[in-house]
Amino acid sequence: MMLTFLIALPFLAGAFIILLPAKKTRLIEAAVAVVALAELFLALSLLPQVLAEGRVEASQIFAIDVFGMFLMLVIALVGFFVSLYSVGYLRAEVAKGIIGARRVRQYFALFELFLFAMYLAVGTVNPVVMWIAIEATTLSTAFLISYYNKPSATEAAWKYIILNSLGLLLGLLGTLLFLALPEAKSGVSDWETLRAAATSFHPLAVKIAFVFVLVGYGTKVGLAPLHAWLPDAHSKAPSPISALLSGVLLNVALFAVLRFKGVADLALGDAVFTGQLLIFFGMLSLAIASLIIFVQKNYKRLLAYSSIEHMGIMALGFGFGGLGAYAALLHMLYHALAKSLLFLSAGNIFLRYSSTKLKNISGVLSALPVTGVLFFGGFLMIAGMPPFGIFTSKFLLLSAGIGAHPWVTGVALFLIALVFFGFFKHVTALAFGKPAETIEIGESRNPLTILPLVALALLIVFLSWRFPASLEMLIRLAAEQLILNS
Amino acid sequence: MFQEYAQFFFFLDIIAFLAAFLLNVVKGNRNILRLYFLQSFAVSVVLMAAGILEGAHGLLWVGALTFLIKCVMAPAFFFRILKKYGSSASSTQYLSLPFTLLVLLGLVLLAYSKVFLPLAPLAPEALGSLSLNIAIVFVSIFLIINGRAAFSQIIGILSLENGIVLLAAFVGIEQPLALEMGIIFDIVVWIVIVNAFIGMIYRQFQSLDTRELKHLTEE
Repeated sequence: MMLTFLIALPFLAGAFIILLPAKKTRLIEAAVAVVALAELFLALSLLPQVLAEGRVEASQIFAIDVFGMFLMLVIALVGFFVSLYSVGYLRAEVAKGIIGARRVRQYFALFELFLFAMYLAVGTVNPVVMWIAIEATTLSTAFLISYYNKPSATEAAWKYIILNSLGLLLGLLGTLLFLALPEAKSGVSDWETLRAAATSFHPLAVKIAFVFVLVGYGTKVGLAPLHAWLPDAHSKAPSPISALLSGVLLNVALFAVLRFKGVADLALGDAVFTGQLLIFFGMLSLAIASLIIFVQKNYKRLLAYSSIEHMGIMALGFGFGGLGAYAALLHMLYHALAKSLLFLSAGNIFLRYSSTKLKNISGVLSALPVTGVLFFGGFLMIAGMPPFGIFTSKFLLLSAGIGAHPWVTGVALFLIALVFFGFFKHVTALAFGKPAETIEIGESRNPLTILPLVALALLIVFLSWRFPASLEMLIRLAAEQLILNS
Repeated sequence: MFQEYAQFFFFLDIIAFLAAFLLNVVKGNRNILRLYFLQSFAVSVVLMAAGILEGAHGLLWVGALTFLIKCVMAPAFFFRILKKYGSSASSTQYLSLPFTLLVLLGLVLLAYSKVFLPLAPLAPEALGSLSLNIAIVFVSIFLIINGRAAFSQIIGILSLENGIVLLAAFVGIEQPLALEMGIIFDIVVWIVIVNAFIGMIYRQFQSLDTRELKHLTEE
């Protein structure tokens, strides 16, 4: 019941918002905040039950295991902060005359549908429903990416629709090939039955099906060379949407790949084939991000390329397996939180400077002292500086790879260092210096553009310093589930 | 699929493949739309015929809905677009015709190559159709990549989807009706959304040629 409610609530909220008159902005904002809080509460309430029982079922199609629960918590956490910040961000845009009340209603209705689609994707055990849900994320976000109705935003949204639709259709083809394998054809409805039948699958057929799944869903993950849509979409969408795209959606797509990886590994008898593919795409993503990050001219694109880098790091971890899978899950959580903090801070920078071009931005620490500290802090977190959590996850991940893949690990370490220098160069230019005379000095008086960011930063610091036992157990069990399937 | 009707189904599959192939070659958006209609009609007939022969009401419904959406709704939407923006819409490709034909030949050979032989057990009685459907998938992907017009990209995606539906039908995957409806609903929403985007692109770029979409590179 709780799971059904958790999945359905954002959908109901989206429908409720559409039905409300556009003038009732305060009511819409209240609904969004209440739903965000309720979702977080429901996800946290579900956690002990999932930890105790391993799997909670709402119906034959809707159920979550430890891995699904982990993703659900990530969505609820990031969704909570992004929902609150969205209220403040849109208020600021309305005050500046960029948008009107109707656009606010449209934004929040699509926002809730986007969240619903992601909850649905991780809350189902049926591969076809998961595909439908992930496709629904594309459809609900297309108008959010083109939200500002500018030619560049429309172009980014078009690229996003076409590339992701192509990718997801290949993902569907891979899914259907898995379901068509003779031993699975009769009555497969969930991952459990697919895994049970996996050992009798024809290995070569499984390899072909997995390649389609990886290329298909990998497009949505943003793994190079299928990443072309990602920097454009992330840079053109409103900042809170960029935070959700980077912090959550990419992980949901990776979740889909990993679900099939589990089945493929069981069918193939080991994780060598799927692991090597993930390592290859992970390294390619790292390499491309590390080179392109140096020549970035736009700070939101900079953050988007950083997401490609981090998805590459996670792919490496899952490719290494064992401790690498645990580290990659840890990395997924820290990256989701830190990247959201960065995109939300970038939202405040955009509100003040009205530009996303790096050449137009300087002296953020002087112009926006709190946002500046949070943005710079977010950079240190995402770069993996100690004592922040990403340092731990990267360290564990590279330790996992050094034994079996010393060359890959060495090159990955070098590329991570390159990204750090490229990022550092841009962030220092943005944070320090003197702001232009036309730029107003001092933080916005709108508390909802600051408080969610401060709370999010404190949460990251807390999780870096003291990791709750239940969360640690959830990640450990989810990693074990992934490894056991291998 | 039914052995006694195998030739009938294979004939429909060939129509769908030829339509996908010709989509890459013909000039003019109206011709592209006609070919898409033909391909979708073949897909609908395959699904409905399979539904009737198997006595599967779900499949029959899916076939009927497919016909309604892909042969009635989508063409009506797209004809309206072509009428409105017809003067600027073109359907040219990046590669010249001989090169396009060469690539298409290569893709068809790939679909029939040993690479996909491990998939043979999926449809041992309809091996030809399996390869043909994989060829539809490849040829449609090429249409998306090679087409200069936004319209070709849309039809490429829909043709790819037709190829996947045919493949699923020939290997005998049957999902519960609710799930089939879910997929069809996604496709309907997709068609509505791309229609809206076509209008937005035309208003902002005065063209549906994707080469005009270069604001991102100029930034």
